[in-house]
Amino acid sequence: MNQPDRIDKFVVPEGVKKVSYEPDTKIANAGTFTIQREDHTIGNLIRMKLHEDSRVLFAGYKIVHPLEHKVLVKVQTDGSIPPSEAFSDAIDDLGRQFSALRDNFAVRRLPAH
Amino acid sequence: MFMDDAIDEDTAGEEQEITQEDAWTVISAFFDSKGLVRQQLDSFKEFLENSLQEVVTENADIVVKPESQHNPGDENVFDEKEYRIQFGQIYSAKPSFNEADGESTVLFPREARLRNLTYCAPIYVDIRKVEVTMLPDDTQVEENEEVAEKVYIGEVPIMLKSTCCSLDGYKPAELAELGECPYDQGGYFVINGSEKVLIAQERMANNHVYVFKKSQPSKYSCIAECRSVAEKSTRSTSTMSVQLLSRQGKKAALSGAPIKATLPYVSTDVPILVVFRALGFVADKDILEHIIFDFEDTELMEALRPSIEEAEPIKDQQVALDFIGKRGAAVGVTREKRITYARELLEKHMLPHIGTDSLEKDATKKGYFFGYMIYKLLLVALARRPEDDRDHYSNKRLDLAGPLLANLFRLQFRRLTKDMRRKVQRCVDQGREINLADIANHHIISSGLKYSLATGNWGQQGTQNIRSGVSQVLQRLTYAATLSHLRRVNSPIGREGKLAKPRQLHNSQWGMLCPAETPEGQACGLVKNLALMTYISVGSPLSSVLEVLEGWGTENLEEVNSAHLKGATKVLVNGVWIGINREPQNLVETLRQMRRGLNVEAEVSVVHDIQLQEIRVYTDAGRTCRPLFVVENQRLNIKKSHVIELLKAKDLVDVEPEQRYGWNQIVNSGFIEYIDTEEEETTMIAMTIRDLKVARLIKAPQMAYSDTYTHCEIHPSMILGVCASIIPFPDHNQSPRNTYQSAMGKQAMGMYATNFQTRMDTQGYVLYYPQKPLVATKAMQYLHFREMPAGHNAIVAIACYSGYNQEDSIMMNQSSIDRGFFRSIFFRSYKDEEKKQGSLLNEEIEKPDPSCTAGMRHLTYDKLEDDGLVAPGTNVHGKDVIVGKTTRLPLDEVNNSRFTKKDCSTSLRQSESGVVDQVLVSTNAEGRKFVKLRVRSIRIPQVGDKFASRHGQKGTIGITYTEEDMPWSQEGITPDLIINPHAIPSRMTIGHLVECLMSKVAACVGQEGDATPFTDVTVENISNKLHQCGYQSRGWEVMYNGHTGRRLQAQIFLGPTYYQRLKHMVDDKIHSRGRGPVQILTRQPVEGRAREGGLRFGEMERDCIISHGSAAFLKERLFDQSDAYRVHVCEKSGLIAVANLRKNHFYSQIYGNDSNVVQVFLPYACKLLFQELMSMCIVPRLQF
Repeated sequence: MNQPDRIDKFVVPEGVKKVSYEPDTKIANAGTFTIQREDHTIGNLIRMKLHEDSRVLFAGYKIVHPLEHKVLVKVQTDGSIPPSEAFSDAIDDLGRQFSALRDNFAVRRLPAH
Repeated sequence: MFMDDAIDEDTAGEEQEITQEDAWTVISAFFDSKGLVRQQLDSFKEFLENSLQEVVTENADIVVKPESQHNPGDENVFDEKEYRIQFGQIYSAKPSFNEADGESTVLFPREARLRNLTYCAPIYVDIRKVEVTMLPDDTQVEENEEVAEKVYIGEVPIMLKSTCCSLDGYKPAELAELGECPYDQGGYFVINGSEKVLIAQERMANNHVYVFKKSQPSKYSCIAECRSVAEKSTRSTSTMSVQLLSRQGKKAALSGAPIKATLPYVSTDVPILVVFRALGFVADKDILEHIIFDFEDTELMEALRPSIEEAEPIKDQQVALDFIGKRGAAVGVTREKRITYARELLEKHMLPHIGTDSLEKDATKKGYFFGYMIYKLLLVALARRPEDDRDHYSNKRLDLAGPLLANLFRLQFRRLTKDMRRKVQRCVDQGREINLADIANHHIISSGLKYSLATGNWGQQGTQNIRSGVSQVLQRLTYAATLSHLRRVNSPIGREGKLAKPRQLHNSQWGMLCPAETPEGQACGLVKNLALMTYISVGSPLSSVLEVLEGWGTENLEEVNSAHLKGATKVLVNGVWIGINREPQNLVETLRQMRRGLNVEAEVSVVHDIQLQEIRVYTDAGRTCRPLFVVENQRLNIKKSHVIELLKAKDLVDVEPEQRYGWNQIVNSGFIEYIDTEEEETTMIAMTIRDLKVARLIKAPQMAYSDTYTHCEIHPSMILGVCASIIPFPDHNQSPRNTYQSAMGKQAMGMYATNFQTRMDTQGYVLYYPQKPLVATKAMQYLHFREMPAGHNAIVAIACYSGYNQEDSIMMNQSSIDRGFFRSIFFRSYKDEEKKQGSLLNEEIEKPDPSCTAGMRHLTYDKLEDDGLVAPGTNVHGKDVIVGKTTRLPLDEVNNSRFTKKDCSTSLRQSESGVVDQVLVSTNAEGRKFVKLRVRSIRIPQVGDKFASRHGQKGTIGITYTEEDMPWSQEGITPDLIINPHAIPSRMTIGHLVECLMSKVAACVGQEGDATPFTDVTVENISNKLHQCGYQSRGWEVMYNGHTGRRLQAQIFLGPTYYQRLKHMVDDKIHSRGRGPVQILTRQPVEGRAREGGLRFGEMERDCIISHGSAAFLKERLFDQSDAYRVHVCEKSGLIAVANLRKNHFYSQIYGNDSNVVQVFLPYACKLLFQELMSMCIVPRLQF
């Protein structure tokens, strides 16, 4: 009756950007990325990837409220690169990793057929 | 576990003893033959077969003498004529219904329920009329005898599944065809379509002598009382008591304290010796012989001395009677009248259960009983015996449907005879012929019985002794709730009373009443539930018992010389002292043997009180009894062969159940007997069959608790009631948790009847995919819990995970919900009928035409079809009309408007929605159109819905996570439910954990787990089995975080647990209001969600804001958002002025324009108060 529509969980509303960035007002080289309609799956992945980056001083994510379907990813770098670059590097890295995984999977699976 | 080998004895040569497991075969036989509501059915059967006839027979004849008009001059002819109407045999038929068009049909319960009829059967009685002429020589001549056979006198509601019910004798399959639930146990009535249960009413037993000690403020130190009521009598109880004065003041205690008696209708206490003398015992010695049988007992004799001395001046019977008469109600009459009054009082009102005939006949017995009361009083006063226990369950009787209905029928039948007498008198006086066939107004009995059953108000209307809540609407939430309701007991003690004792669990309730199932709060301990095997006696004839007593050397009290009473054992039957016996042991033994056979009814109880030298035999109705194995020589009478025979008989499907070897045969063979609460005190009951084995050990007698067992429990788990029997391992839980679960089990959703689709209940909850529990108690099979379960076997993890299960909230797996986990249906039925108001105002079910119908509301009428009803399958919401109905307006109103009708349609409840499921169109009892409409809505679990395990662990959903966000185990299992570990330690519901552990084993092994309490199952056993299945023995699992994929630090207790969905759901509760409807009178917001009411800002909330200092906020809540109102007040007089705001005219009604008028804001309730004060000539003035 009063339950929120479950489509809200994954459809980005019109006029809202999928990813937005808000630089931190107090700390240099730090900022928060807001990824709309995503959850732990992306948040945790990106955070773990950012941790692998030696230029990143801090990376963390949170889901503010179970009814707000967005992930906040906080990144702070050492200043050699801006947080946005670290963020996009992480995503690129992940992309490569996943396509490698997919290719591997396809190759290994094929001979069985 | 201990010394099992030592216990195994050599059974060769003898028949093998049964095992504890075999006891369950016996229990099955009990439930096969008795069912679960036998007390209700037996009691009603007794009412139909005996009480009904007794009421009619005991009612005195109607005797009418002609009181013809006195004509001056007419000689008084000495022709004393008398008309007598006598009642004979009573007959009842099968339930039937007379259709409005005159057709009569057999009525089945289903039809009665659906068409809101009353399920009742007509009763008929033979009426005989004679004219009796008194001749001058005092002889009577009977003439003109006329007998009308089977005169219809009214209808009696029929209990379902009783012998008289239309369903009696139908097989389960046939019942299903008739649209009845084959599992329905009956035991209730159908009154105007609603199912009514008669709740058993607890009361103190009559004809018992109770001795109580009194403390200081009372002037007595001890009191012995007897509430006497003659068997099957219409009179109310007449209480008589003897009390010992406390010796305050008189310190010397030379004379001690005298004993006084309180007689009914006598204002002051009377010395006991005066009562004896009035009864005809004059000599002191004669009197003493009736109290004390051993004159050597100087202490007792001494205690009586003051009483003897006190009554010194009253020397003979006449003086004593006059003494009593003077203190009675007859004041200022002659001595003779006083004496006859006192004599009558002693005959009729003193101890009526002994006898109500002439004093000459009953004096001996009454004297002895009176003496017995004094004797008992003295025993307590001299501290030879403790005082009686008011709460001991042997002092209680339960009035079931039978006695309750008999009382009601008695009242109504008396009203009927009164009415008949009036009619006969009129006929006689007017010289008309008496027509026996329509002399009885059948509406008196029919509507009288129906009224009480429909409202629950028991007793004569208009009198003060009406009990309310005797008849209740049968709970149909879950099958268990229904069963439990049919086995409920109520003690009509004021709920406000803060006395704790009657509410506490009494030792004597063991096995009779459930120790766990009682409500919390005001009715705690006053509302009880019968244990599973409890039997309530229905009352049996005395004759067989009296025969045995006489045959075995009982001397009648009237024929015994009082000097010979010393050392003899008194024999009391139903509280009446009938004689003495000198071989009590022998008599008791014989009586018991005969009861175990067929010579004496099985429900008769025989109590041998050795201390008091009494044998008490009870045959009355309403005693609580329970079956026990009979033990002789420390060996059960029942043997393995009988159990085998029972098992064999179960397979004989083609033999009638009564002919098969079953419970009745076991009872009649003396293997099992019914023991009531009083007799139980004289028995030694072994808890288990093992105890008996130990008792037989000669080698190690110190191991045995006792070696004088007389009985053995059938199974200790039978002490529990219906709801507590559903709890697995209740013996591992803290006891209040079992009480909580007993209350919650009644709110669980399941299937309340297999025929729910064809029923039109006002509310109904049905679970989509009910599962039978993995772990169950043995008793559950008798409760049909497997056939009609109420819950799911959820995979439960006890873990902290993200924190959304704090404070008794639970996390639920959204993916499970999507697969149908705990999905349920909610049915709500609406009823409407074409009522007839007066002769002209007729209602009609139709689609209202807006052009000629007045008062149509802002609702959707579009969904109505041409017949004025919504078709099945239509989606309906809060603002939809579901039954269109109009009333024709009276002609004078129609003349000057376009409207000819008024709308009185039924709309769906606000805040509810659903799909029209079923529409029923029929006619009601008056033959008018009658409509029932059922709306269904599907309820999917969501945040805020309530769930509970079977251990009083309830909680609401705090969050739902999809499967991928749930933690998983190495096998990839994700829980359906995560509860918080903090719910366990303080509540100590170990049963919850054991259930989970055993469920896990059961799921692995593919067998149902046995969670019956008081068995040998241990956690160690279960753990070992789990370990064998390849799991960690305590049920722990390594789990991984669903969000991050990392291993959880702690191992998680994971396994299936049976969970229930409770009927409380957020969608039925959610409520908010900005603005909305207000009450007409006060203009404050209305109350309640159904009316879109406001949320109360109460006193405590007010206090908070006051202490916080937020005055403006307080004013906003209490005034602006409530009943703000503006008035204009004359400044001079302080009274409300007249204001015309449109013309800007203001003037004071007192000073006219000579005063200033000011505008004032005040609560409308305040304005109302001022006006009310003014209406009673008080002037409230506002000062500025």
